[in-house]
Amino acid sequence: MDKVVSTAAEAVADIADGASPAVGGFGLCGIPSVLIAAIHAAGITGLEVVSNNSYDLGVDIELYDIVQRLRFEHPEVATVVVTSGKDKIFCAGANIRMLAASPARELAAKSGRSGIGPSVALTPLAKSRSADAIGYRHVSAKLDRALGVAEITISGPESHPPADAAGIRAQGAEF
Amino acid sequence: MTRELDDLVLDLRTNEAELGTWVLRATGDAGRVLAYDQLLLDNPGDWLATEIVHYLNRHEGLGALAEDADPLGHGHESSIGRRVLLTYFVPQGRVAEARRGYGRKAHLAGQVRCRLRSGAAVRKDAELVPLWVGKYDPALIALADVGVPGT
Repeated sequence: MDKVVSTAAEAVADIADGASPAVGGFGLCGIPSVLIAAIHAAGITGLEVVSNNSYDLGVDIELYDIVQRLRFEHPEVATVVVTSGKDKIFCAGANIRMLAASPARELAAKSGRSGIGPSVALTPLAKSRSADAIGYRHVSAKLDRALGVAEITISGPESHPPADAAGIRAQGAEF
Repeated sequence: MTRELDDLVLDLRTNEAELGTWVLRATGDAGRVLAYDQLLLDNPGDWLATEIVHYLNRHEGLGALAEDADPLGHGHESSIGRRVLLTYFVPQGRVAEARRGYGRKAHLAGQVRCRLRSGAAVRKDAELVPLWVGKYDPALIALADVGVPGT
């Protein structure tokens, strides 16, 4: 049986309101975004979707990186608005306050971050990695595969802290 | 330090699934660590100090994990997966009191933190503090407790 159709609308044509479609795949390829759009466009509702998708680690890492950079490199940003690439659709289970632009501006006005700076650049970490060791400036790990053990050593600061908050900013990511 | 530990945890979680036991050691001058902590706590109005405290607090999870885990040897479900986490500290300039609600206290509390272990084992470690070398290295003792072969 040839299951190939020429459009997404055709692919979802036999899905009725209240149907229970199953979707598969891991990571972003497990999110049938074109078909979701086709279902949305067709006005089909009441679906119970079964998915075996896991969250996508790559997206997680990128999102975390963006948030960290907003925190430290863009102190002028006081509120972060997270939206979906699709209108009126957001991931299930997300515990994020949905905001329109207007209340976001109100929240930003209340934030202690408003209009403050200067920023701190998150420079790339100096990292070395071999088959049995991972090294950074303050953290190192010995990987003992025979024992199944990672021995992690964290080194304390090499010098006394700066005298004040201005000194923290002067040290930046090195603090 | 926190960014590096962050990167390491991600690396180990994703690339080293076979390493089921993590041993955390801290070395250095605990007095300096507390001085850094105090500087951050003394500047609650400074945006950068505040953000750094928030960032460190995120790592509180790692320490809390060690404290709340089941008795050693029983893996526990956690944010870092099914791993046994052994945490202990090499005291140089003893820190008498760990600071609550603060990330680094989990890393540098200045003494053995073996909630994962029995009270007797912790007391034994306390007696061994001056002798934390060679076969008395608490990491080796703890690994033997978990049943890691070769220790």
